[in-house]
Amino acid sequence: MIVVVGLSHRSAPVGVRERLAVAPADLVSRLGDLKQRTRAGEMVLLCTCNRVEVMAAPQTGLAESPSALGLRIVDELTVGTPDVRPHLYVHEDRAGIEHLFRVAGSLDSLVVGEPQILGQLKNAFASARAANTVGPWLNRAFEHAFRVAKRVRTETALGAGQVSIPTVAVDLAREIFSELAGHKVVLVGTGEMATLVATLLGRAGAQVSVVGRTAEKTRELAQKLGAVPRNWDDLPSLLVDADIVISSTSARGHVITLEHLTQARRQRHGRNLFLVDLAVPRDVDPRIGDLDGVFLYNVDDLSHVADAALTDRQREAGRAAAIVDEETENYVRRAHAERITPTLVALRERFHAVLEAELDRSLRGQRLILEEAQKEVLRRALGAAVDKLLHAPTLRMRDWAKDENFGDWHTDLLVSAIEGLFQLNESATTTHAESESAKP
Amino acid sequence: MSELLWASFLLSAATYVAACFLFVAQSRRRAAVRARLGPRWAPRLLEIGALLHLSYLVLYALVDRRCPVFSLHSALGFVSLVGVVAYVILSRGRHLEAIGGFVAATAAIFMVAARLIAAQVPEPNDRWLMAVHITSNLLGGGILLVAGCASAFYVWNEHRLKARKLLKHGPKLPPLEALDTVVHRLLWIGLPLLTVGMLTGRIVIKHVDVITAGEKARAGLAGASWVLLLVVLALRQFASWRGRKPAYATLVGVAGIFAVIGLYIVRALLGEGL
Repeated sequence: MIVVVGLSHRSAPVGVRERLAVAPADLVSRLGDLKQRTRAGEMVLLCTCNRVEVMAAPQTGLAESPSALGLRIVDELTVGTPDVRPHLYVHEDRAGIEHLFRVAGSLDSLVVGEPQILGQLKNAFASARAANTVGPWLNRAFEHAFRVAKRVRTETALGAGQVSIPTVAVDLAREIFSELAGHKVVLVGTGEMATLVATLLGRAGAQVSVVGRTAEKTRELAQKLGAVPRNWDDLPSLLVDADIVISSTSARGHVITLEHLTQARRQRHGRNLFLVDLAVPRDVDPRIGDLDGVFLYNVDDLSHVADAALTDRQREAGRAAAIVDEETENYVRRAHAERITPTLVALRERFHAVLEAELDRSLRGQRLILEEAQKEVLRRALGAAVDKLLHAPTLRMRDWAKDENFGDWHTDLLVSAIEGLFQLNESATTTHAESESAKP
Repeated sequence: MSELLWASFLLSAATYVAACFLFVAQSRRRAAVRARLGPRWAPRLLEIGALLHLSYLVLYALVDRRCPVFSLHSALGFVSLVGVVAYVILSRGRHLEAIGGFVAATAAIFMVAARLIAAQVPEPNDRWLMAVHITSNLLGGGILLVAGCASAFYVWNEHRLKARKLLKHGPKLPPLEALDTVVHRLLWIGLPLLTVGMLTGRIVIKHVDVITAGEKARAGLAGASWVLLLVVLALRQFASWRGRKPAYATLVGVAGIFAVIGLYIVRALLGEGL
């Protein structure tokens, strides 16, 4: 099973989250490093503005519990930042799966029902696959999580008429500026969420300028948005004319400083300025929010605003949570059932191997001369008889394994009993030697 | 005639109350009201209420056989009616529902209050000068009432947005920029009218033999409020002074003007004339 270690907007404020944040460019190297240091078998690293989470599974064959791995991940994440530790949560096994499904279904999102998280989860999974850190456990869990997200979208109205962070930001802009047409918007950086906000503002008639450090990327984004690309050095002068500034860069320090705004305000003639800081770590100096006529909102502030819309979604969120519960149950049952599958396959192979050996010995011992077609008919008949004999016990054992009341302990006992009784752990040569020794 | 008077009074007050209810429900984000009833019916009811109110004031003047300017009853109604008309003209396309609720409520309250005030004010000697003085002050006062209300909403919304704690079930307040524009325009309309009132007031005072300390204080308060509003308007016009501070200043100025109007009413109620 899997373990999830991390922190989110529910457990940690932005000031704590930003300390664990990983820039997109560093994601793969951080993932590889973390996997190696924690000796995990599989690992996916999800890093968004609202959460930093490590989904991992132990190495196969080591018989290690997910909790031991979880502790190692906690230790590794808190190296150099011990004060982050109280904000970290660890979800193991069923709780880990349920958490993953809730995240994929956007039930754990800052704005419940917002669609961005699914894309972010898919990107994190793709990055992990590219880094070759995904194995059977996480592969199965994530594929199932994506199906859960699809079910939630199609079977509930959680995403209908939703208030995502971008739409919350646009609504706030309307609370300040009423009509957005003709207002000047500056998009700093090329973050996904910020781009969405700029897109919505552009659709409302605002004039958008894009400022970025990479000229080519900035030009591409500006072209996509129908905006004007500007150089990074133009930012201070753009702040003079801007009505709305949306910032989402991966810079470690403040991109918009108090000095920037203090200088710009002299020429702004008291016009209101709406600053949306969607970056983690924050791009905008928080002291700017204290200036007259400046309205500064970061991701946490937007989440508080978005909470107002949550009450309208409680019913749908409840239905979505029921889907997540059902799918978690299905997944856990299937995972239990799959634990017994290798044993059942080995048992069947063992029976067929014994059958083959006995058939060969019988035919040789009786010195019967049969044609190949006759031998094949005989082999098939006996094979079918074995399958029929094993069918009922196989079904029964699968049912037991699926039954949550049966429990892991009983499943392990059953697997051990079958393996012991039928000597399934011994090599295939045993079968041959066994049949040879049984010769009269 | 009196039945007609009563009918127009009751209908007008009821229409104002209904408009107020719809505006408030719309501002309080009641889904059904916001989607259907509010946007369509609240402004219409306010307009209908204003027409009924006007007809009531005309009928009252006919029944009373007095110039409405010199009637305290009509003056109160006139101030609120001017406020309603100013709102109806300036609110189009600006999402000022919360102010609409205030204006409608004020109009209804002023109407009922006017019915309860039975003071008879003696007509002055210089009727034309006083008529201009009172009319311009009432017009200016009505317009500045809406400006003061818009400033109060500006301060409230600015504080709420600044504190980043939008109320979960709080009202949807008018956008800051719309409020700023409305206050600016209302000051442009209201302040010249008030200036006429101030100037005619100076002339009226010159003809008065004895000026009491109370009258001097009242005139001083009116003058200080007028200067404050003039400064706000000038700074807004020539130095682009906007935001919370001018909103506070406007609020203080309008409060001063209404304190003076209130003192006039008290004086009239005490039987000391206008």
